[in-house]
Amino acid sequence: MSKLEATRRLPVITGYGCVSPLGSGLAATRKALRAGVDGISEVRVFSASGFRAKSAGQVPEVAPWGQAPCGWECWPRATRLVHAALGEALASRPGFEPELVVAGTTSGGMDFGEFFLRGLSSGMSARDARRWVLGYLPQQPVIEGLKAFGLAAPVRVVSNACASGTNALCLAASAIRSGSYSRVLAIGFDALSEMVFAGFDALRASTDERCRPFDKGRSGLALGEGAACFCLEEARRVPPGTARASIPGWGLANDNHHLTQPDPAGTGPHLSMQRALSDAGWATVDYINAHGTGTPFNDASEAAAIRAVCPEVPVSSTKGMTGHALGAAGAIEAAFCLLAMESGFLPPNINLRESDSGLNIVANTARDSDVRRTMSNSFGFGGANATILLERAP
Amino acid sequence: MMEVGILGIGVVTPLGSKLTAVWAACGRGVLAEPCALPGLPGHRPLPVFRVDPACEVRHPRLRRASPISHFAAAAAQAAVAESGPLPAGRTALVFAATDGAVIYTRRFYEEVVAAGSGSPLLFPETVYNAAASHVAAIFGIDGCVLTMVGDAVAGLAALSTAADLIRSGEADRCLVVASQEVDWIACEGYRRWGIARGPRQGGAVLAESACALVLGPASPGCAVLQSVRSGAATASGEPVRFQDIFQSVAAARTPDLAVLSAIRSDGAEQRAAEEEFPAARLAWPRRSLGEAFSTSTLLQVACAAQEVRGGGARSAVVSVAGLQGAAGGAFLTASAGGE
Repeated sequence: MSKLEATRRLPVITGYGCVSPLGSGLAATRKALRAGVDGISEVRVFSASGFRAKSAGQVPEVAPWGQAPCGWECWPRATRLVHAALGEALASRPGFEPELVVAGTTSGGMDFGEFFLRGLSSGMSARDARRWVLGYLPQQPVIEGLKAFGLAAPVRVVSNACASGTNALCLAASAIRSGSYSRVLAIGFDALSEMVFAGFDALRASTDERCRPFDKGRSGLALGEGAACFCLEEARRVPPGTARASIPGWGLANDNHHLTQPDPAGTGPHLSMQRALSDAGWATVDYINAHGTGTPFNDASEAAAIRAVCPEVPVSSTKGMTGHALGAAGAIEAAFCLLAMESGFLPPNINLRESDSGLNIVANTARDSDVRRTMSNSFGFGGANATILLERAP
Repeated sequence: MMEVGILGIGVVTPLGSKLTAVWAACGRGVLAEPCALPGLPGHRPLPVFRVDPACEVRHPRLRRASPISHFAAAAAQAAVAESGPLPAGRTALVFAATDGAVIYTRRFYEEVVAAGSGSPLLFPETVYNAAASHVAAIFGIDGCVLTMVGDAVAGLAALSTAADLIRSGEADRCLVVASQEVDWIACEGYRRWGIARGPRQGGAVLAESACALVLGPASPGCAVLQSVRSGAATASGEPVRFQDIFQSVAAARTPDLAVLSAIRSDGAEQRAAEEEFPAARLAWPRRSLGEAFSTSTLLQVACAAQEVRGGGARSAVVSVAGLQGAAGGAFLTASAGGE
């Protein structure tokens, strides 16, 4: 494939939906994002009494999109989140039928895996055992969600830890650019689960106070959950005025430093941002939605990379509002970038008292801005780094 | 369009780690030796196929790693030894996993979540991409590193993604790896789902294994990956027709060999292969090597590639059934200049 051919097959986003601790649906999310709402609260999904951290970003009310499909109440939480985001995305692009679905997740239907483990010691019916095993599979929330809307397509699930959501978008965009597909659905999802909560708590990566990305006194992340879904098509194949934004470039990098800790010099983030800009042929962007988890190491590493690549650009991490939704984070934050471009504001980096990042942080309150080009970063365990660029449709 | 070839193959299986010997044993219908995995108290353990523990790889990154990472690293080392060194800065890694690091996941739940003690260091090893991260570190791969998860069809998704990375010029080489470890919790899950029953009951025997393929621009003597396709069951639950998969991947070509998955018990896959390719020899390596889902899929491709590059077949088709009516396939030919 020549560079020219690839350039001609520009992936565009023609519809999207989002469910996060800031609300269900784009309208509620936009309002809360602009207002800098802190969506983190005491954990309700399970008992967090045995953990150091007690709070997380939780979707306030996981409601079905439209009429509840048959069996909704028995679905894993992740499947419900996918259904809600998928419904909104499909409603915003009527008639969209994907040829391929690329999903990103870290834990799939983990809550059902936990039910199965508990059931082994406390007893369970054969029916429940089968349901819980099936519901645990990482692809199942997507298959179930598609089925509820009368759709079916091959599902590819990428699980690159906390970069998964951005990876899913990159792979979906790549499938369009390659010419192999013309309609691809990209989804990032993860539901809060006790197992994962325990993991971050055990590593002491979670904070027991507020999540303060890029603050000098930051003490860790808050976990979150949610889902975001995007209809991707080839620019030349959609009617004028249909595209909401394009995906002109992306970059992936692996830093090989350590399984959990980023390279302090920010080598991986630096490479992924540079590769994305080079892929798009851009020198800079108007806004960066940082990975910004609020852990001392992650924020320092990312800040070093941003200072080297785009030192002046306004930056915020929205995880102070939502918590870290792991495999959903990249997708949710891409949706935030779209909302920022469509509504003309920069989302705030809340809970900031004193920044030690050396970055142009959008501190605590949203800024009005004519944002045209955005960058979203996602980094994960295993040294996975992914950066995606979005450009507002003209 | 650039032809993508399989330039190196490495396997770790219950029948050994020499592909020629493994493939020959599969052809003779040799079965791996089952062993009983200790499991849930009060339950009869299920038979599983295990690999030789000597395949453990010594590397600082693997000090605390679970078996899935060791198997993956061993297979990758063998594949790279065959293909030659991976070009620095121009190599991608696509990993396929089904159960992931299930041993550490179960242990983390038991020791840390349920009992409130145990090592927090188990947790990072439970993430699906831990094994890929270790393999990337061992080979110094700093570009695209992806982990695709799912059932047997995820192996094809990994293969297809890797081929796209080569064709698009994003990478000069792509290491495709799949690896599977077994644990009693997974055995219990698959048993209660009705997938794993043991050979006497006609069900699958779960197996440890790993497979690695090095993809790159086709060169003389290699097997060429002509096409990879997959499909999903319809929204109403109708499974993918194998005829459609075979016609799609073969594109009017007639293979000498069909390497089937034989996962589904309804015989649809074999009937479709016999109808579409009446002259093709049929093979079922999973019957000898056990069920390792996405890893078994790559092992099927490895067997097909071995036969093609060794001159035993001019071309070969591979078919795979997923867990919920999904299915897929691949088609391989000998490269120009090959035997």
